[in-house]
Amino acid sequence: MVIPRRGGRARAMLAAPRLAGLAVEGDTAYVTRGPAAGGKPPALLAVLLNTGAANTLAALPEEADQIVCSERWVVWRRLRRPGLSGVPFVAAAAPVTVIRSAPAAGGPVRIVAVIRGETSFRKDDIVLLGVAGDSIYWRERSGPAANDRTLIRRAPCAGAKAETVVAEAGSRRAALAGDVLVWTAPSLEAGNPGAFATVKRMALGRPGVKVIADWLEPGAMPMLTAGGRVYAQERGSLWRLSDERGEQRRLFSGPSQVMSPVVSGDEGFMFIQRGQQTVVAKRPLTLWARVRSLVAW
Amino acid sequence: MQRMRKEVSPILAVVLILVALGAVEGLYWRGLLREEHRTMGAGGGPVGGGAGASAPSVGLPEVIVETVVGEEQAGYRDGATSEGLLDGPAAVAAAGGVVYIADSRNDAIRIVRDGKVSTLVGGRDESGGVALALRAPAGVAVGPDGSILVADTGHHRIMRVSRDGALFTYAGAATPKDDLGMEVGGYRDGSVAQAQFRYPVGLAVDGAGAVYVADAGNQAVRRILGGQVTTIRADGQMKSPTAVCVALDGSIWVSDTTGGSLWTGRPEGPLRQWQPKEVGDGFSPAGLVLAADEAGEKRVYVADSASNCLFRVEGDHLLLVAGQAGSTGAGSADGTGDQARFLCPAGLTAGGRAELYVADYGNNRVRRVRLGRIHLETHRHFGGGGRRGLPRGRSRMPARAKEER
Repeated sequence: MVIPRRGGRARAMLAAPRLAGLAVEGDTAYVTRGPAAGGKPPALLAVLLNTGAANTLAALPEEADQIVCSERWVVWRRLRRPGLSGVPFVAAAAPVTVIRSAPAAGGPVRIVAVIRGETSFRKDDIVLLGVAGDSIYWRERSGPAANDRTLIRRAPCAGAKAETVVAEAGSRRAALAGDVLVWTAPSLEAGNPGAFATVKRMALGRPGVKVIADWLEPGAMPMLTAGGRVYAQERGSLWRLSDERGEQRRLFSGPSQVMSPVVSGDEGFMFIQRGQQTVVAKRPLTLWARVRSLVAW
Repeated sequence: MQRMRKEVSPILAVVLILVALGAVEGLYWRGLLREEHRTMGAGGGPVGGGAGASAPSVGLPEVIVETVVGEEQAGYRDGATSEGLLDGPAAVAAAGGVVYIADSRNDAIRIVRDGKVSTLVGGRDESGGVALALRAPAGVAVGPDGSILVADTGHHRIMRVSRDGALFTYAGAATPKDDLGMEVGGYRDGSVAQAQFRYPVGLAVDGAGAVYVADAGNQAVRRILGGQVTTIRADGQMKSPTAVCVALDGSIWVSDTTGGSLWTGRPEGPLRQWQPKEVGDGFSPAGLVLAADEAGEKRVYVADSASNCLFRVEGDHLLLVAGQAGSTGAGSADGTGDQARFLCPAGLTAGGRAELYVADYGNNRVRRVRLGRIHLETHRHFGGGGRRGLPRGRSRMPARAKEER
């Protein structure tokens, strides 16, 4: 479905079996289609937002769980479960997460990483954070306990050995906004390290890690990215965190602002999925966006 | 009636009441007026925390559990056993004072000798399991000729490791590969060079030199003898056989982890399902081994990966040896059998005298269990603390088990 930025009725853009893993870059949406009639294998599709025209970029062995993209690359992941299940101590039969990539302009599909894990005792729950430069960044956890390490790793989208960028015990959230990487960690100020969270920030390609927020609720804090900035939800509030000066600013709060996941952010606005997941709300984030909203109203 | 009442002496009445009370107590201590706790089976409490589970029972106080190597935190580090780290030990074998560990998530066979842990073969890399010497080995045993046999589970083969760590294929042929380049396994009987396996896990060797393989992915038990691989018939469908052991009488025992039962029978087959009655939903047998306690009594021991306990097969019952049955039983504590806790104990092997080794998969440790002198009569009558000797986790073995002794 697609909704005009100015609001209006949602319209169907593409109908295909088992569409999964949506990502948008510019005027193109990327999505995978499941196996189609006639024995057609799953495929990676590029859909033009203006016209709804779909172009098959590549045939795939499986659909995606999650897609991220940049101007140059489309990267997706898939959790693959082998046939033997229910035996937690047979690590060979544990699910495997496969990260693949393809050039946004079309080209061969590459295997970026194959990550083993996710058993009853290890929750690796691989999450793709985004593409920066020509590298894909993802988060993986090494265990279910609060003090287990979270790794933020990266690998070239063209395929090469992965490297660890961040290793943080007790980290639960991470996000990539432009060339800024942020992640949570247990607060060092709080007496009980698990009670509150701190948010750390690192500019890619530059040394140094900076704490940009502290004393945040650890559980209720999804990290969001929109328009190159990082936002954190805490109960009914939305905080902007990725300020260069280390500021954390509460953008809005209140019971009416209890939010579901952010759909996207663009041109000073954040689009938030809300309520029974049938309403997409548009929220101005900058002064200029507020002025534009008032004028439009 | 009045005349009758006058004729009953008060002293006689008191004596009769005391006799009656004594009879009731006698019945109580014979177990006829009480519920079972420690044994599992007919009349016993369920193992898991499923519906109908009684209060969790606890293991035997004369059993001692201690950590040999590993910490809760997974890792890969050789060195002194107090410093060594494992990641998902799935199976153990012991011979000549050396303990062999199938360190599955490290893709390695580790050995413990003279207080040190080292890597015999394999090791962790970043290839995602595509180019590994071993891929998530989940079974290890000492072969008929003293060599080390490994269930190379992720490569769907049985391997032989020489003393210096050289690796040879013992049984299993190549199988088709998926799009990641990983073999998916297969099923074929025949010569060791042609046979195929699918996620082989547990291994056992009998006195005749036959090697038994719990072929989990093929839901079958395979036998390697005289260079040929055959499938042992079963009187029913196993779901995921993960361990096998050979009993004193030459019969074999098999753990069906997701099937929640044991199977047993002659190697010629058929194997028949063996399931203690009143087993809760949480019974997921994993490691199996034949071992002797200090009294020299050889029995089959079972690691239950769901209730995190060790049991011993006694007749048609299971005797709780170590751990605490029920949903509260997970943990990592060392101590006596009633204090010790496990987290998904997966592999078992017999060590020295009255000694077991446990691959405690979820705790990333190998544990040693000193069995002591397990005296069933003691547990029946005097098995622990509590009011007037009311045992904590008292055992009442059925008459049949007693006769067997």
